[in-house]
Amino acid sequence: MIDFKNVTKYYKPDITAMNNVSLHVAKGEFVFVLGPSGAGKSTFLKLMLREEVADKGEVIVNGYNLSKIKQRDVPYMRRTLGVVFQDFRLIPTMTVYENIAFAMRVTNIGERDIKKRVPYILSLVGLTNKAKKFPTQLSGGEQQRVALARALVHSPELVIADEPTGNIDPELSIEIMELLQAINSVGTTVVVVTHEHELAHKYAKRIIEIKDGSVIRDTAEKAVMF
Amino acid sequence: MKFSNFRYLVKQGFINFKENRIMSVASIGVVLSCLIIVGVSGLIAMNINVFAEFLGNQNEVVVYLLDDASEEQINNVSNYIKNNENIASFDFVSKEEALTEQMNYLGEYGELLEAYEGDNNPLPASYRCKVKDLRLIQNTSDQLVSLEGVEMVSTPTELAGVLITIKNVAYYGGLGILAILVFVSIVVIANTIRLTVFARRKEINIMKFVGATNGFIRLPFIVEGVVIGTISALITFVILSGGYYYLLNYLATTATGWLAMVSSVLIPYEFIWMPMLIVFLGFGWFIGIVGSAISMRRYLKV
Repeated sequence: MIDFKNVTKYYKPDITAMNNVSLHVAKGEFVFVLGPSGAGKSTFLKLMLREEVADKGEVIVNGYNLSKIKQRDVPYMRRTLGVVFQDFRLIPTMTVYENIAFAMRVTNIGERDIKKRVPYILSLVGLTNKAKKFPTQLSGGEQQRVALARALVHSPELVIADEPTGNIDPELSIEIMELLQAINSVGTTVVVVTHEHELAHKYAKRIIEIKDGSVIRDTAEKAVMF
Repeated sequence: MKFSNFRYLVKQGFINFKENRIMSVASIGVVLSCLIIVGVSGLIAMNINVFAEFLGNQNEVVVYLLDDASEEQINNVSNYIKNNENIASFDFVSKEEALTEQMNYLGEYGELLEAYEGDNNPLPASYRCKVKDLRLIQNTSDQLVSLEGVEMVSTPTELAGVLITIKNVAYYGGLGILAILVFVSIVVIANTIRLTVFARRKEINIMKFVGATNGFIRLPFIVEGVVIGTISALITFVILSGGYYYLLNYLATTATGWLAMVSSVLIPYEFIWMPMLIVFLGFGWFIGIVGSAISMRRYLKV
């Protein structure tokens, strides 16, 4: 699924955002990537999406070696992922339905399948009655669920959520976490990137903690809650 | 790409065009102005060319024969002219015809020349030849003068030179103006579409992250460019072909003197409307597509 092999990333002029990081996330895992702001979480995310390329080492995501991938293969690599961004990144000029359908269109899925799949996904995140609304007409929690629906609609093998509880109420964040767990229970790998210790420790999942660009802790899934 | 997706993207292009109404109108204005300038200079250049050709065809190389040229020599010259590739047509003017022509030219004083009729006729017989390619006129004339039985060849070399210059200026000047305007239009269109692209950079960024290929993202913008190009081309066509049509009609009915002569030579409307339409559409599409492709380049590098 995800393989970081001795990955180092510099930002000009002399900032080391990621220093010799190695980690492995297997298929079907549920992982928290924990760290304070500035620890290198964003870099971790950017490297996985190939927004940035590692200066040293190798990043392998869903079988794509991102240090060697050709520019024209990048879109196909990204289609194997579903990403819920912290700022949701919904297209403001499209309705909820269109936003989700768009992620399917991109992957060249036909109109007939879109018409079947999108209402199903909307019902899954509980937004059936908001399909015709625009993102700006929704609350933060609802927007996030749209973002999640978009991340799931093309059945990716790996779902990455960036600060899924950052911009919404605590009750809503529980809802989102439950949805992510449900996705995980059917075999999808889930990576949650967060700065909230509480959130990471609330669920008995594997936690990879990063600080100053290095992995300082990697604890396996626990049977007991904190 | 599935057809339903292709149709969706084309539709998006039209929607973008409608939603960015002000930008679209601005772009159409720019392309329209460029197309009109290109069209007008093209029409002028083409007509100058045709006119120069017409004047060129009025040019005659006159081959004067020796009075004592033998029948064989005359036949030789005639065959030579017939087979010369640079001579479009020719007329034989006998000594008598040349004299009659002179007498007619003098009008009532023509009688004065009566004394020269018959054996006293000093005028030589001649072949008057129309040349195909003015640039080769000197060459042709040199060949003719070397033939036996030819006394001399009169060649309007100077006039030919002037006409060639006019044609060249019209041709290269037209090309130069065209090149500059194509460049300017592409730059302006690229900038106008860049504003649209800039306004939608976040959207493009999102598209990239859900795995859209560059072609997928580009298509609606290219459709937008093509729509702008098509509308501009059609408006230009209506304005210029209409204008040309009325100009020709106006000249045909009211022009007198040299202007009438000029207008009779101009390219007729029915020969020009089709190429005009094709060229405008091609041009409009070209700058629409290239312009939008250029303006997107930066935002696709994610």
